[in-house]
Amino acid sequence: MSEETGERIFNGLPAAGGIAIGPAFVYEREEVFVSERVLTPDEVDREILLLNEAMLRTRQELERIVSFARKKLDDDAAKIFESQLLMLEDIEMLHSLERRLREEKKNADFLIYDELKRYREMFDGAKDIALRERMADLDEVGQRIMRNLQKKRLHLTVEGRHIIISEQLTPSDTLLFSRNDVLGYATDTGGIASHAAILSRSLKIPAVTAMQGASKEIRTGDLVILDGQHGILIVNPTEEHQREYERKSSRIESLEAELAELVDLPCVTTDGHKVELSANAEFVDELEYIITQGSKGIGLYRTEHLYIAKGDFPSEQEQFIEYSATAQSMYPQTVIFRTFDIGGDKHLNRGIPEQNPFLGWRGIRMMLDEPDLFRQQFRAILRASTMKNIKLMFPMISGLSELEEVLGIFEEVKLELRDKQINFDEHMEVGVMIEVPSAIFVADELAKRVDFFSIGTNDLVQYLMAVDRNNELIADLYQEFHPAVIRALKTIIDTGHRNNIWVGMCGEMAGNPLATVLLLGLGLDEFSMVPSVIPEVKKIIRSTNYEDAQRIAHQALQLPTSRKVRDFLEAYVRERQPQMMAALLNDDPDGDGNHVSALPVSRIAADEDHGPGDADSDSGKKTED
Amino acid sequence: MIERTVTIRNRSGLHTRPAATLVKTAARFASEFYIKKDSFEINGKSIIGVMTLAAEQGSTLVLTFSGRDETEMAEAVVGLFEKGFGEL
Repeated sequence: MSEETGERIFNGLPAAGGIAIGPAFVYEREEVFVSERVLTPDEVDREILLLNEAMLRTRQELERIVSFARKKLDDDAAKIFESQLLMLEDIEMLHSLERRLREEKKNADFLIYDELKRYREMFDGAKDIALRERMADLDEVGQRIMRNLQKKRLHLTVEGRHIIISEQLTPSDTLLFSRNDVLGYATDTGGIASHAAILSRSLKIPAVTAMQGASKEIRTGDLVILDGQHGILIVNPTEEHQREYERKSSRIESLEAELAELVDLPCVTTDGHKVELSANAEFVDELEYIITQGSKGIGLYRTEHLYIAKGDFPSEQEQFIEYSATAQSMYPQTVIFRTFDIGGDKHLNRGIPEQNPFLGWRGIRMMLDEPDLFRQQFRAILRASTMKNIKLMFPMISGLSELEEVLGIFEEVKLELRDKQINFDEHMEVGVMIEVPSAIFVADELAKRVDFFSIGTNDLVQYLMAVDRNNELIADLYQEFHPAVIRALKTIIDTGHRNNIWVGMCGEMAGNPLATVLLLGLGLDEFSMVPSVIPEVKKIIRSTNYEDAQRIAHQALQLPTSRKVRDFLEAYVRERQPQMMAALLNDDPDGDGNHVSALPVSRIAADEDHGPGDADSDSGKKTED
Repeated sequence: MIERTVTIRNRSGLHTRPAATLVKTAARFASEFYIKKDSFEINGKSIIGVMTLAAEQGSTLVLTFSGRDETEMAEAVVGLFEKGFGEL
């Protein structure tokens, strides 16, 4: 189908919610080129004059942007431009420029370029996203001065309603394009916490980021669909997709208002059964967004991003700062930290080649071989726990002896802290992730030693089905609705409850609206997911009767194939949640049961340990098992 | 010259907003103002300098003020840190 119509689907990160459908406008940012020149003594004074003129002009531009930003944006977003203005006036930079101009006698635009390079080197090692964003701001200010020195103009106008596609958008591109009738933004680079993403949310313009090269594949005028909630861009969509998204878009508008009202409401079924919805997170910068989505805390905090960002293990102090900042900003909600899960797809083993890293030295296996690193992490987490809102869990536990070894080290570290009279939460809850199939069969023993289970469905499904979901040849065998999977879930949840511990889930399945009623009915106590889907899942739970859900789960458990389970759940959602189904799935009024649409829903989360683009999930594929 | 040691109390450290507040406050005074973190020292009136400090919550900074209005300046600047830049 896709060859005939030329439809292409790109997966990125959801930066700002909403759906946009319209022609693409591919924006190629005009690069400023500089060449190095040596000035004659007479030219130096003139160059200083030109620099001052360019500075003045830049200042006027920025002041106009700031006043426009104040009108159009919330306070925090407008601050981004105010700080750009401060950068322009930075006395150190001004002095350094003028001094170098006189001493080195070089052209001003080259010197600015050179100064920026110096700062970039300084920021390059920065692990902090916020810091990298500030470098991007500084870069933008520098580019603006250079452009003014070269007397060039930027053209940020576009006729008619378009979706702007670009390799990158600076904060002011994002703001200034919005003066036109812009429908959405899609960029190759950037992150959820980037300034451009913050601005898109503040402007309420749907945006997708981290599209990894999509801008090179799209031409101005191509019809595109941008799904800012799920991070999807569809180029030259099939008519089917077009109709589907047009329907979704109009329904989302009415749904959105309704979902917004849900943020502060408890997550409880119509008959009073309460569950927790929480968010998966890895950066402090995401927390603000998480809170606005109505999350009850963080159900999975991936600590390994600290390692990935730094390229090495962070010190105890670095970890402590990160963990306490996270705990404090979520307070009084809780944060569940997962100890380093390095290895597997993260390719970070210490240069020892592994034929099969997913079955190799990863997670708890690696940490047990490096007990000093483990102790460091435990100390940092314990020290950060004084507000008593931190929980801890261990990945890749395959059996009791591993768990006992981990808990042994944990207790030793507690003892050491008590000796040193360092405060920590003596009653911190600890849990294990259930993701290695062997753990299911010893869950009874594991449950007796911990306070909770958290089911990591992404790995669990892979290991249970023996399917590497990054392998395209077999990715369709990765089926989270396979009877073996849902029966395993039942065993895990029942075993947990029998031992009086709660059971959560932090894999993609927890955020798949199609799975919500099933998981609720199986008795899951906590659902942890990408923040953007929390309102949808909450809405489903709040309009479901717990007894109904239990019956649905019971019936689903009897079904023999993945396809039958899916169809059964879809039929239920379509009947009971027509509005939700219409907005989320392709609810075809003619009822021809078309399934193409399910694709975006389960792509919701390029989540749980898989980067964007590789989370090729089962839905949308019509494979019979 | 006045020297003061302060600890960053607000959770997100000297990020965009507090850094801007700090630099704007410093600009109101004539005295020189330097910030030292570990062995790294920057001009406290330079937003870019303050950014490069990457000072996070819990970091300890040594502030030095020198000039005719150093007393008033020290009071104003140290006050910002104590109040956690209004983010506590």
